[in-house]
Amino acid sequence: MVTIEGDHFMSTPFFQAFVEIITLFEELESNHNLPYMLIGGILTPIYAESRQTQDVDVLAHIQVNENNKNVLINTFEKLKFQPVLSWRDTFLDWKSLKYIQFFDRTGLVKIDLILLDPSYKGKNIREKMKILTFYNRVRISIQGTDCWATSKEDFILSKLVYGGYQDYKDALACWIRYNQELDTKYLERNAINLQIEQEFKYILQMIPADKAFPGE
Amino acid sequence: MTERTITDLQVKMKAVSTIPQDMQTQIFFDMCEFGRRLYMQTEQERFPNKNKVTIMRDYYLARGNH
Repeated sequence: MVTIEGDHFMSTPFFQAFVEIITLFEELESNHNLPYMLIGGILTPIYAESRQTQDVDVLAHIQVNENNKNVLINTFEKLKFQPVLSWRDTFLDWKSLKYIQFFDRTGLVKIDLILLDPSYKGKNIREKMKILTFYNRVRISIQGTDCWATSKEDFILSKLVYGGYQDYKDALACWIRYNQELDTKYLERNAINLQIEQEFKYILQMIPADKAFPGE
Repeated sequence: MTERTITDLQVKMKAVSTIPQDMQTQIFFDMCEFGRRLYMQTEQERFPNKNKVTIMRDYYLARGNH
Protein backbone atom coordinates (compact mmCIF):
# COMPACT_ATOMS: atom_id res chain seq x y z
CA MET A 1 0.00 0.00 0.00
CA VAL A 2 1.46 3.32 -1.06
CA THR A 3 0.48 6.33 0.99
CA ILE A 4 1.61 9.92 1.29
CA GLU A 5 2.97 9.84 4.80
CA GLY A 6 3.13 12.77 7.12
CA ASP A 7 0.51 15.45 7.33
CA HIS A 8 1.33 17.51 4.30
CA PHE A 9 2.58 17.36 0.75
CA MET A 10 5.10 20.10 1.60
CA SER A 11 7.24 17.42 3.20
CA THR A 12 7.34 15.38 0.00
CA PRO A 13 10.64 15.16 -1.88
CA PHE A 14 9.10 16.45 -5.10
CA PHE A 15 7.78 19.65 -3.52
CA GLN A 16 11.02 20.23 -1.60
CA ALA A 17 12.96 19.71 -4.82
CA PHE A 18 10.70 22.21 -6.59
CA VAL A 19 11.40 24.89 -3.97
CA GLU A 20 15.15 24.24 -4.20
CA ILE A 21 15.05 24.40 -8.00
CA ILE A 22 13.34 27.79 -7.85
CA THR A 23 15.89 28.96 -5.25
CA LEU A 24 18.66 27.93 -7.65
CA PHE A 25 17.27 29.75 -10.67
CA GLU A 26 16.28 32.86 -8.70
CA GLU A 27 19.85 33.05 -7.47
CA LEU A 28 21.27 32.58 -10.97
CA GLU A 29 19.01 35.34 -12.23
CA SER A 30 19.57 37.87 -9.47
CA ASN A 31 23.29 37.28 -8.91
CA HIS A 32 24.47 36.41 -12.40
CA ASN A 33 21.86 37.90 -14.73
CA LEU A 34 20.83 34.50 -16.10
CA PRO A 35 17.03 34.75 -16.51
CA TYR A 36 14.82 31.66 -16.56
CA MET A 37 11.24 30.47 -16.76
CA LEU A 38 9.38 27.27 -15.98
CA ILE A 39 7.85 25.37 -18.87
CA GLY A 40 6.24 21.97 -19.33
CA GLY A 41 4.34 19.59 -17.07
CA ILE A 42 5.00 21.41 -13.81
CA LEU A 43 2.59 24.12 -15.05
CA THR A 44 -0.32 21.78 -15.79
CA PRO A 45 -2.09 22.27 -12.43
CA ILE A 46 -2.19 26.02 -13.08
CA TYR A 47 -2.68 26.20 -16.84
CA ALA A 48 -4.27 22.94 -17.96
CA GLU A 49 -5.27 19.59 -16.47
CA SER A 50 -3.00 18.25 -13.72
CA ARG A 51 -1.00 15.24 -14.74
CA GLN A 52 1.86 13.36 -13.20
CA THR A 53 5.38 14.44 -13.97
CA GLN A 54 8.67 13.50 -12.37
CA ASP A 55 10.95 16.16 -13.76
CA VAL A 56 11.08 19.93 -13.98
CA ASP A 57 11.69 21.72 -17.30
CA VAL A 58 13.33 25.13 -17.29
CA LEU A 59 14.15 27.44 -20.20
CA ALA A 60 16.95 29.90 -19.47
CA HIS A 61 18.83 32.60 -21.31
CA ILE A 62 22.35 31.37 -20.68
CA GLN A 63 25.05 31.90 -23.25
CA VAL A 64 27.27 28.91 -23.79
CA ASN A 65 30.68 30.07 -22.57
CA GLU A 66 33.31 29.11 -20.03
CA ASN A 67 32.34 31.80 -17.55
CA ASN A 68 28.69 30.72 -17.44
CA LYS A 69 29.71 27.10 -17.21
CA ASN A 70 31.76 27.89 -14.11
CA VAL A 71 28.96 30.00 -12.62
CA LEU A 72 26.51 27.13 -13.13
CA ILE A 73 28.78 24.46 -11.69
CA ASN A 74 29.67 26.59 -8.66
CA THR A 75 26.01 27.36 -7.95
CA PHE A 76 24.92 23.76 -8.49
CA GLU A 77 27.57 22.55 -6.09
CA LYS A 78 26.84 25.24 -3.51
CA LEU A 79 23.16 24.27 -3.47
CA LYS A 80 24.02 20.55 -3.58
CA PHE A 81 22.50 19.68 -6.93
CA GLN A 82 23.90 16.50 -8.47
CA PRO A 83 25.25 15.71 -11.92
CA VAL A 84 24.02 12.66 -13.84
CA LEU A 85 27.61 11.38 -14.05
CA SER A 86 29.98 14.29 -13.50
CA TRP A 87 29.77 18.04 -14.11
CA ARG A 88 32.41 17.64 -16.80
CA ASP A 89 30.16 15.20 -18.68
CA THR A 90 27.13 17.41 -18.10
CA PHE A 91 28.73 20.25 -20.06
CA LEU A 92 30.52 18.16 -22.66
CA ASP A 93 28.02 18.78 -25.48
CA TRP A 94 25.98 21.64 -24.09
CA LYS A 95 26.84 23.91 -27.00
CA SER A 96 25.39 21.59 -29.64
CA LEU A 97 22.61 20.02 -27.54
CA LYS A 98 21.41 23.38 -26.13
CA TYR A 99 20.36 21.73 -22.91
CA ILE A 100 21.76 20.08 -19.83
CA GLN A 101 20.32 17.64 -17.34
CA PHE A 102 21.05 17.28 -13.65
CA PHE A 103 19.42 16.13 -10.42
CA ASP A 104 18.17 17.76 -7.27
CA ARG A 105 19.90 17.26 -3.92
CA THR A 106 18.17 13.91 -3.29
CA GLY A 107 19.00 12.56 -6.74
CA LEU A 108 15.31 11.74 -7.32
CA VAL A 109 14.08 14.71 -9.36
CA LYS A 110 15.58 15.49 -12.76
CA ILE A 111 15.91 19.02 -14.07
CA ASP A 112 16.00 19.60 -17.82
CA LEU A 113 17.62 22.97 -18.42
CA ILE A 114 16.98 24.13 -21.97
CA LEU A 115 19.17 26.92 -23.24
CA LEU A 116 17.88 29.89 -25.16
CA ASP A 117 20.00 31.41 -27.91
CA PRO A 118 18.52 34.89 -28.57
CA SER A 119 20.85 35.47 -31.49
CA TYR A 120 19.38 32.50 -33.37
CA LYS A 121 18.50 33.48 -36.95
CA GLY A 122 17.80 30.05 -38.46
CA LYS A 123 14.51 28.43 -39.43
CA ASN A 124 14.11 25.90 -36.65
CA ILE A 125 10.61 26.47 -35.28
CA ARG A 126 11.44 25.22 -31.78
CA GLU A 127 14.30 27.70 -31.50
CA LYS A 128 12.08 30.53 -32.77
CA MET A 129 9.40 29.54 -30.31
CA LYS A 130 11.82 29.66 -27.40
CA ILE A 131 12.78 33.25 -28.27
CA LEU A 132 9.18 34.35 -28.78
CA THR A 133 7.90 32.89 -25.54
CA PHE A 134 10.79 33.79 -23.28
CA TYR A 135 10.28 37.54 -23.49
CA ASN A 136 6.60 37.19 -22.51
CA ARG A 137 7.35 35.30 -19.34
CA VAL A 138 5.12 36.00 -16.35
CA ARG A 139 5.59 36.02 -12.59
CA ILE A 140 3.48 33.37 -10.86
CA SER A 141 3.27 31.87 -7.39
CA ILE A 142 3.18 28.14 -6.73
CA GLN A 143 2.38 27.32 -3.11
CA GLY A 144 3.86 30.62 -2.00
CA THR A 145 7.00 30.22 -4.10
CA ASP A 146 7.29 33.09 -6.58
CA CYS A 147 8.85 32.15 -9.88
CA TRP A 148 8.95 32.96 -13.60
CA ALA A 149 6.88 30.90 -16.00
CA THR A 150 5.77 30.90 -19.59
CA SER A 151 2.45 32.68 -20.19
CA LYS A 152 -0.79 30.77 -20.83
CA GLU A 153 -0.80 31.75 -24.51
CA ASP A 154 2.82 30.67 -24.94
CA PHE A 155 2.09 27.46 -23.05
CA ILE A 156 -0.43 26.63 -25.79
CA LEU A 157 1.88 27.69 -28.63
CA SER A 158 4.86 25.75 -27.36
CA LYS A 159 2.76 22.64 -26.76
CA LEU A 160 1.53 22.82 -30.34
CA VAL A 161 5.05 23.34 -31.67
CA TYR A 162 6.26 20.22 -29.84
CA GLY A 163 3.28 18.49 -31.36
CA GLY A 164 2.92 15.26 -29.40
CA TYR A 165 -0.33 13.67 -28.27
CA GLN A 166 0.14 14.71 -24.63
CA ASP A 167 1.29 18.20 -25.66
CA TYR A 168 -1.88 18.66 -27.69
CA LYS A 169 -3.99 17.48 -24.74
CA ASP A 170 -2.29 20.04 -22.49
CA ALA A 171 -2.86 22.82 -25.04
CA LEU A 172 -6.51 21.88 -25.48
CA ALA A 173 -7.10 21.78 -21.72
CA CYS A 174 -5.53 25.24 -21.35
CA TRP A 175 -7.68 26.60 -24.19
CA ILE A 176 -10.87 25.24 -22.64
CA ARG A 177 -9.93 26.33 -19.13
CA TYR A 178 -8.96 29.92 -19.97
CA ASN A 179 -10.80 30.44 -23.23
CA GLN A 180 -12.37 33.78 -22.24
CA GLU A 181 -9.20 35.45 -21.03
CA LEU A 182 -6.68 34.35 -23.65
CA ASP A 183 -5.27 36.77 -26.23
CA THR A 184 -6.69 35.04 -29.31
CA LYS A 185 -5.19 37.53 -31.77
CA TYR A 186 -1.72 36.88 -30.36
CA LEU A 187 -2.32 33.14 -30.65
CA GLU A 188 -3.57 33.38 -34.24
CA ARG A 189 -0.69 35.62 -35.33
CA ASN A 190 1.97 33.41 -33.83
CA ALA A 191 0.36 30.15 -34.91
CA ILE A 192 1.08 31.43 -38.44
CA ASN A 193 4.63 32.52 -37.54
CA LEU A 194 5.35 29.16 -35.95
CA GLN A 195 3.71 27.14 -38.74
CA ILE A 196 1.17 25.50 -36.46
CA GLU A 197 -1.96 26.92 -38.06
CA GLN A 198 -3.57 23.50 -38.56
CA GLU A 199 -2.95 22.46 -34.97
CA PHE A 200 -4.32 25.76 -33.72
CA LYS A 201 -7.43 25.30 -35.88
CA TYR A 202 -7.97 21.96 -34.15
CA ILE A 203 -7.75 23.76 -30.81
CA LEU A 204 -10.24 26.46 -31.92
CA GLN A 205 -12.61 23.71 -33.03
CA MET A 206 -11.89 21.78 -29.81
CA ILE A 207 -11.00 18.61 -31.66
CA PRO A 208 -10.10 15.91 -29.10
CA ALA A 209 -6.54 14.60 -29.03
CA ASP A 210 -7.52 11.12 -30.23
CA LYS A 211 -9.00 12.64 -33.38
CA ALA A 212 -6.21 15.17 -33.92
CA PHE A 213 -3.64 12.40 -33.41
CA PRO A 214 -5.30 9.21 -34.68
CA GLY A 215 -3.31 6.10 -33.86
CA GLU A 216 -1.32 7.63 -30.99
CA MET B 1 -17.62 9.69 -28.36
CA THR B 2 -15.79 12.78 -29.60
CA GLU B 3 -18.41 15.16 -28.21
CA ARG B 4 -18.44 13.24 -24.94
CA THR B 5 -14.64 13.60 -24.56
CA ILE B 6 -14.79 17.35 -25.07
CA THR B 7 -17.83 17.75 -22.83
CA ASP B 8 -16.05 15.80 -20.09
CA LEU B 9 -13.02 18.05 -20.42
CA GLN B 10 -15.15 21.20 -20.39
CA VAL B 11 -16.97 20.07 -17.24
CA LYS B 12 -13.67 19.10 -15.65
CA MET B 13 -12.07 22.46 -16.43
CA LYS B 14 -15.13 24.31 -15.16
CA ALA B 15 -14.96 22.33 -11.92
CA VAL B 16 -11.21 22.91 -11.65
CA SER B 17 -11.71 26.67 -11.92
CA THR B 18 -13.79 26.61 -8.73
CA ILE B 19 -10.95 25.03 -6.72
CA PRO B 20 -8.43 27.45 -5.15
CA GLN B 21 -5.13 27.39 -7.01
CA ASP B 22 -3.15 26.38 -3.92
CA MET B 23 -5.34 23.32 -3.52
CA GLN B 24 -4.85 22.41 -7.18
CA THR B 25 -1.08 22.57 -6.90
CA GLN B 26 -1.23 20.65 -3.61
CA ILE B 27 -3.15 17.85 -5.34
CA PHE B 28 -0.63 17.97 -8.18
CA PHE B 29 2.38 17.54 -5.89
CA ASP B 30 0.57 14.78 -3.98
CA MET B 31 -0.25 13.02 -7.25
CA CYS B 32 3.35 13.19 -8.46
CA GLU B 33 4.63 11.94 -5.14
CA PHE B 34 2.13 9.10 -5.06
CA GLY B 35 3.09 8.06 -8.58
CA ARG B 36 6.77 8.11 -7.75
CA ARG B 37 6.30 6.03 -4.59
CA LEU B 38 4.12 3.50 -6.36
CA TYR B 39 6.73 3.13 -9.10
CA MET B 40 9.51 2.88 -6.51
CA GLN B 41 7.66 0.20 -4.56
CA THR B 42 7.03 -1.86 -7.70
CA GLU B 43 10.66 -1.59 -8.79
CA GLN B 44 12.03 -2.40 -5.33
CA GLU B 45 9.94 -5.57 -5.31
CA ARG B 46 11.35 -6.52 -8.71
CA PHE B 47 14.92 -5.44 -7.94
CA PRO B 48 15.48 -5.53 -4.16
CA ASN B 49 19.12 -4.50 -4.51
CA LYS B 50 18.39 -1.25 -6.33
CA ASN B 51 18.30 1.90 -4.23
CA LYS B 52 15.87 4.78 -4.80
CA VAL B 53 18.31 6.94 -6.72
CA THR B 54 19.26 4.12 -9.08
CA ILE B 55 15.60 3.32 -9.69
CA MET B 56 14.82 6.91 -10.62
CA ARG B 57 17.91 7.28 -12.80
CA ASP B 58 17.01 4.10 -14.66
CA TYR B 59 13.49 5.44 -15.04
CA TYR B 60 14.73 8.69 -16.61
CA LEU B 61 17.16 6.77 -18.80
CA ALA B 62 14.37 4.52 -20.07
CA ARG B 63 12.21 7.55 -20.93
CA GLY B 64 14.99 9.21 -22.87
CA ASN B 65 15.36 12.97 -23.16
CA HIS B 66 11.75 13.96 -23.30
